[in-house]
Amino acid sequence: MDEIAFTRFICWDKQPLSKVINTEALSIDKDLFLATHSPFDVISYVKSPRQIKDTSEKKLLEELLQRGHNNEHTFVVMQGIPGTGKSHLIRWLKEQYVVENREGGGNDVVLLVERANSSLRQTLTQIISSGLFDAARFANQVAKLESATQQLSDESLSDTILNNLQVATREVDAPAPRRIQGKVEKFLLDFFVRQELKNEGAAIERLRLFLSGREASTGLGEKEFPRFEEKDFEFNIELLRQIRDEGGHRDAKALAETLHHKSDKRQELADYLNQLVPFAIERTTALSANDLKQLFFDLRRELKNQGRNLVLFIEDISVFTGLDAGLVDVLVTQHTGESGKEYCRLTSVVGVTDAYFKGSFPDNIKQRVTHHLTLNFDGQGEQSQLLTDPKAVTDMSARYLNALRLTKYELQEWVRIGAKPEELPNACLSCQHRIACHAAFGASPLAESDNEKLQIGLYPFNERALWTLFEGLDTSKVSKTPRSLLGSILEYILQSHGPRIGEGLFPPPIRELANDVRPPTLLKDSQRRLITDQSNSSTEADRIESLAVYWGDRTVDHVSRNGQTEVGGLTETAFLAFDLPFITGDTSAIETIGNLPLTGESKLGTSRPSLVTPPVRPELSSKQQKQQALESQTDPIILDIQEWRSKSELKNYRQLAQWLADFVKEYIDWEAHGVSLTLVDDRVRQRRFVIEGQSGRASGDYLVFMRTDDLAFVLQALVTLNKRAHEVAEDELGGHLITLSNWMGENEAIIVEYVRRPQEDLAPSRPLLDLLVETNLLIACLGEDLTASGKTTRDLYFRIMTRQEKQKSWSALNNREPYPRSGEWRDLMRGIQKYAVKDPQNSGKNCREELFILANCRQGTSRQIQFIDAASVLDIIARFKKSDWEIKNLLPNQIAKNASEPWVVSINTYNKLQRQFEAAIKAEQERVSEINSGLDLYLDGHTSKEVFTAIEELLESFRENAISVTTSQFSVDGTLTYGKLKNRLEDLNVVQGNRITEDLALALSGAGELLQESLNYIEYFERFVRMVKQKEENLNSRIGSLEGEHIGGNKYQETLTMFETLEQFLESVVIDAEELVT
Amino acid sequence: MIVDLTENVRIQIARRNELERIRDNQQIIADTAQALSSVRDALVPYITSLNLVRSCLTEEQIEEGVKKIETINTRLKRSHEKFAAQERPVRELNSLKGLVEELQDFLKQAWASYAYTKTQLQFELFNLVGQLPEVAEHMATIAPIKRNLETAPNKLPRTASDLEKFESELEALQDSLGNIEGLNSEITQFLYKVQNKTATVADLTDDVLPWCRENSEREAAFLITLGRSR
Repeated sequence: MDEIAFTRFICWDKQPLSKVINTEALSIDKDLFLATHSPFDVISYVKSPRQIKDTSEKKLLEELLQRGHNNEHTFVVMQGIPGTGKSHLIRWLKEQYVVENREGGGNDVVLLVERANSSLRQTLTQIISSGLFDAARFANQVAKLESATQQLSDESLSDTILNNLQVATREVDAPAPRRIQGKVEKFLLDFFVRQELKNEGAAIERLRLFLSGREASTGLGEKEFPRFEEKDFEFNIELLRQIRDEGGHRDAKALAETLHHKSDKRQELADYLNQLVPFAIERTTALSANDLKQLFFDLRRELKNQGRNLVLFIEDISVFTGLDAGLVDVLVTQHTGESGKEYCRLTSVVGVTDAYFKGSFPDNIKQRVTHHLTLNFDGQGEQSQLLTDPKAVTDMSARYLNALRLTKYELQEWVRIGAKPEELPNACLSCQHRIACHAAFGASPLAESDNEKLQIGLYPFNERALWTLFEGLDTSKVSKTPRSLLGSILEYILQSHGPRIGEGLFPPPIRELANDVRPPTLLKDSQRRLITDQSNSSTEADRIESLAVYWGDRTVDHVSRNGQTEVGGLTETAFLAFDLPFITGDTSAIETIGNLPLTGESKLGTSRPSLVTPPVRPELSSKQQKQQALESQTDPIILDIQEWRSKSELKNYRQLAQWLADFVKEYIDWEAHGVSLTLVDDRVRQRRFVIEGQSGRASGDYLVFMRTDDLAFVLQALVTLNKRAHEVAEDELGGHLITLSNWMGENEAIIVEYVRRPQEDLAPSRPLLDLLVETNLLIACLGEDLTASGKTTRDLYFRIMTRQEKQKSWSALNNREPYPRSGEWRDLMRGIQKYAVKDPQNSGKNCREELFILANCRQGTSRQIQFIDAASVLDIIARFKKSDWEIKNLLPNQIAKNASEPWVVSINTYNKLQRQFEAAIKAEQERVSEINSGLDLYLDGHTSKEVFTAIEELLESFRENAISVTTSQFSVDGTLTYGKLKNRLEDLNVVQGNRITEDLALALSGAGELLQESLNYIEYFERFVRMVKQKEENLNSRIGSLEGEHIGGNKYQETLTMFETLEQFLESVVIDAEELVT
Repeated sequence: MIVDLTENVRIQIARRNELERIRDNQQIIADTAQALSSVRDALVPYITSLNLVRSCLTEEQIEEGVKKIETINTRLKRSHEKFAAQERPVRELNSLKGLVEELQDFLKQAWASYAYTKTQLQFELFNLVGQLPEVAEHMATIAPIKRNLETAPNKLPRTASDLEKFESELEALQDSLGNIEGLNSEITQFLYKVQNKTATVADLTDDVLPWCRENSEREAAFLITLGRSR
């Protein structure tokens, strides 16, 4: 029947795509609107005056009409997230209300207020131009509206808004938070603050756009609101600096500082200013909410006088922001009772977003709403009630596809004759490919009928593709609403990729089909390889894979059904329509399915009967069912790999790299390559295996595996083998093993070379064991494990191969008091401690441990140290001795911290030793000399015995002369004797006398105790001298004081004289008296 | 270093000990000087007084005073010797103060005895003639002298002028009372009796009566009363 092949066919070019798929319901032409209107069957009633079981749009319309007929006041609030179809339904209600009212002989006045560029100006203009307000009767009111619109076109509107907000801080009785109080007025006057708020996207600009509208645009976006938000006050540092430094008022500076880094304060300010916004808008427009209210009350009075009633359809009440309070007052005011009897009846249907209903709709008004509806799925946000199953999605899509296939004339004619849904023209009826097309891609009925003539083809989609795309919408970007179905799927795909059908390039690769859709993946990951194998090119394979995952059942299973072959649930026609080869597919589970009915349950998760024509799979065997069940639980890691293959990030890279490392470690015969298993353990691990395109950042030293199809197959194989090896069929298992084997054949050499190297980009210059032996000898030297007497190769071997537990603790050595070694010696020890020895601060490997592990000859799988390759170690020690401990500079100075751990610890330690060991030895030699000199200083040419005797005698003298010496000042240390001191002095001279590097190093290594004890003597003498000098000072002071007291020494003589004088005087008296008597 | 250091310190210890010993002696000297000064200051004024009034004392009194001074001097010499021997004589010197006080008391008593004896006769005469008109008219001159002399026994002369003053005042009082005309023993006897209110007409002897009538003022000075004679 088909004379022309059904391939590369385009049938949706009769009308401009942007005109038909216009997501703004109120902007679309009436004929297109009606032709594409999908009935709303599920409208949720949150509140209604009576139970309404029929939730269809028709019932809602009937409710409005019936209430009008009953002369009942009606205030319908239609809530829904943006894009759920509120506008569409409101417009449909309006159109149908007008028709029904007219046909029913009614004379209601119907006004539809559109969202209209999301601006108050446009909204007011709509009201002025609606023709409801008679120019003569409503002259004053209209003049006010016109004046308001003129105000809103003023170029200095932003400043006016700011000024009026500033006035509002004084005029409006809104409670301001304490920190804001008194400061916000000056804040709003600050030049820099004003500039910031007037920037594009900022609060004042949003308010300006809302009030005045924006040329050639849609005004405020759906998620933009004419109100302040916390983020509006998130000022950058530069702005804060300007406010602070460039002459701003102190209040403005203080408030700006307060807001910095304090989101709660910013929110407080936003909340406060939002309370001022209505005042500012009223003042800016010179139109108050009360003016608007009076305008509509006047209208209702006038209509009452005319015997007519008012019906208002308002697409979005938020377009009245600032004046909305007045409008709401009108909407809730009934025409009954004493207060309302002068008004006509009012029926209103008002669209509100969830956010507006939650934040701006007063609670007392909510009580007075007669019908509260929601178009959200289950009454919640994020998804539309309209599109909850594949049928609804295909139904809506089919209507738009049909409209695209019809000419404008055909639609206008249909509208002219009554626009009855069942009479809507069907473009498919005249299409030569209809039968093949509908068979391959399916169709959707215009009405609840099996009438073939009403079937609208879904080409270039099918039901599965539409549902997969809709279900796959990335809700972090878009909501699952009619608007996103139309915009993100139908319009985007037809606009971006539609022409490529004609070029034979459709569908594009999975990720390119729709931007806002999370790409699906094949259910059987191994089938990607099969697709590649059966395709002529990778581009073609990508397209076939895309066809399979969107249009097909996400497999390329080969199935024969009633003599017709299907691959992935798609017939050859579907492949050929896009100019793709009909591949054989996966024949591993070939089944021939007999004469089974073509009808049945849809696979797409709905119990509703599907009218999609592709046949449903017949009942499968139990094995197949099991496999299908397994496959249906799509493995997220497999999906991840498939997305990664399509240039997405690999999220499960850690697990995959681990499996890859495990596989590599076990697969390669490392001994045959002469690679130590220690190195393998370190190098072949998850963190060193980086997969190109992995989501995590790679750091340190690693081997990168490039993003290739082969690697993708390897990773998929590893997932399967690791997660369900016991469940996969033998042939699939075999396929995976071949994949792994082939890949390893190509990559083994690269991996082995990587393991051998210290780091990926560094070729080793010396064997690791050499480095470790020499390094450990030097470490043993620093760690005082060597002695001058143990200098044979065998001695040194035993010293370095001593268990760490038996070796001296470096922490203890470095924390000795007094510390006997030179600064260089200690610095070197500290510098290498992390890698040299077991360290409480370092749980990682160390050179000592690494030497044991490396020299260990593994016995089977055991990693215990049981058999050391002593011969190799002895050889290396002998060579090192022969070179008189020459530490060659053979290694790079830098090595990545995350390079191979044995290499890291070895190279880092070796390099440090190479740079500093010789200097440390020299410094240590000087240290010995310094200590020797220190002792000489105290001895000062005397023998040690003389010194000790002098000390004893002086202490005895102190005791005899009551000069106290506290133990804190000095106490005799019985362990220090002149005999030992004599020996130490001799030993120090011996150490100093060494000239051969090895001898010196060994002597110095063993000199720890000698130096420590010598220092003890020095410290002992120091303390003694310090104490004696203190006493000497005290004595000097005492002597000076006593000598001063003797200045008055004549007193004695004076007293003697006084005695003598007095005696003589008395004697003279006696003599005189005796003479007198005689 | 250590050996030299210990040697130096030991020398310093010895030096310190010597100076401390000297410093301790200084204290003994100071204390001794102070005690000795105290003794001297207490003793010397009385020795001076003794020299002044030596002529007023009896031989026994002089011997007694000398004896006391000798005792004091002996003890003083003993302290002197102790001091010279670098012992502490302070206690001995303090005990000398008792001896000095004894000497003081002795001298005060000796002088009081002397002065009292000297003045008492004149005071009795004054009492007899004090009412007589010719004495009464000089009372302004006599009364202060009498008052001074009444306290003289309690004031051991410290200086020569103290002693001269005593003697001159005593002489002045004698002169004032001794110039009364015709005052003989019979009249004096009569005046005693008048004073004791035992005089009778019988006592108005020929010597007495004319003396009484010698001038009209003296005559009016006697009052005759009735009473029993003894």
